[in-house]
Amino acid sequence: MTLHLDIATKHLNKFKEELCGDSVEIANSDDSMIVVLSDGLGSGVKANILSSLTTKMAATMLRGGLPLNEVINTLAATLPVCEVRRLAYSTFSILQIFNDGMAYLVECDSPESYIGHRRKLRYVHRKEKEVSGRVIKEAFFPIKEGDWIVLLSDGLLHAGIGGVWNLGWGAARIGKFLESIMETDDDAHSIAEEFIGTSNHLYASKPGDDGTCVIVKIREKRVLSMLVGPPINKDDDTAVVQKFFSALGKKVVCGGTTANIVVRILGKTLSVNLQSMDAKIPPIAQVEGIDLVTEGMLTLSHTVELVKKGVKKKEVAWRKDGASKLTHELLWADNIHIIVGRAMNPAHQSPDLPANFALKQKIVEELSLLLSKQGKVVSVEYC
Amino acid sequence: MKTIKVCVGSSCFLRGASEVIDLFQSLIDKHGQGKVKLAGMFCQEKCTKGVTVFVDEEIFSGVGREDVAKIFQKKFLDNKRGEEKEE
Ligand code: FES
Repeated sequence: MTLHLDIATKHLNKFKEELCGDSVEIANSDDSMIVVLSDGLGSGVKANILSSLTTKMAATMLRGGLPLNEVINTLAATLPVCEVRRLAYSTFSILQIFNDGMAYLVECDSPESYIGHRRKLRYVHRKEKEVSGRVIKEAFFPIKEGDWIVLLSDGLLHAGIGGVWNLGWGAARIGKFLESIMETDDDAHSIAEEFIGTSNHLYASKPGDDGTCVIVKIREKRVLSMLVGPPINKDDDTAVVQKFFSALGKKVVCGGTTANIVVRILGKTLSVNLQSMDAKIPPIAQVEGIDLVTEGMLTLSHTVELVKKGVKKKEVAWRKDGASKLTHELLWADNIHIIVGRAMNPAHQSPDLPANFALKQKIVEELSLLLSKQGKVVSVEYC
Repeated sequence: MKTIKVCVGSSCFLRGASEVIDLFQSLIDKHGQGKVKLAGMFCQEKCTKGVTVFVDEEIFSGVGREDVAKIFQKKFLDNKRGEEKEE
């Protein structure tokens, strides 16, 4: 699948509650990605336990390929029963997106999810049916690049109730709001923050209920190849550079000597951008056909620090130094392939330069681990 | 137009390439505006001693901050005086 699912979850806790009564579970099966959002009855610990049991069980069972009615039966048989309603009470929404581009949505007593394409909401018809005594609404629909789906709990619908809005924010106004924030190119994480931030604001920072959203944005997969250091064997230079240059997606070269080799083999010119120089980070260079060219070790070590600190793409977007630029590219990408050349520190280089191969390998490995933790698919190849 | 190229590869950078660049830049601002271009380059494989600088094809390796004025004087100011005399 060349589509990428950019997913983010954010909670808003009820005022003075330490635990959120809503839970979200995201799981991957062989052929699909599953999101379950559940709102447990009440608030605090009890609600949290109810909802997390619901999401964990549902996600596990669906991942195992069990049909929905069995999931609902099991939930009913396992969850503690609410005394008033005689019902194992938690509401839930399930979204399953299959690798073949089909989506399956189920809503059980939860607010309707929003489905849209770019800056327009899309109407998707739901069929109601009864499963094991509970009414569910379900829909099957195809997804494509530019689509988005937002699951939410009812705490968000009520934001501002009795204050800014008599009856709360409401489904219609939230729909308009989502259309307006989806217009941007922002990633799911920023959208989720904005959504929750606005509802907190409407609640005047004293939320009357737990609120949760899951944002799923569907976009083209972003691929990046990065060449770090020259190959151990000089004879491989041409093959490595040509393979790197013909790869799909964005291309980044890290390392001055590596950049010189790339430029020589491709018959291009390199111009160093002195304006991008920083006290600690050497400048970047421009090479036609390559998206970013930076110095090697110093830039990479600073990049690791930035990624480790958890900087956001937005924060580094306008910074000029090489490490910020590299961080920006890496945070942008979904799939990152790193080609690490094992050439030894050339004898002509000064001994005070921390450029031996073991260190380079350590830095690349650390970087790749940090990026994988952010949900990116990172592969490393040595040459 | 002459070009001064300063190496900003890892090694030269650690040995003060940015300072060398700043010093050249201020000399150019003072004396050589429009006549001298300042550019950067990556490792020129001469990094054992200090910063590597090219003035057109001529190589200066191991340049430190104290050498910048000398190089500039020799390559541009002395030269310029010579040119003026010739006229
Ligand atoms: S880094 Fe400047 S010559 Fe090697």
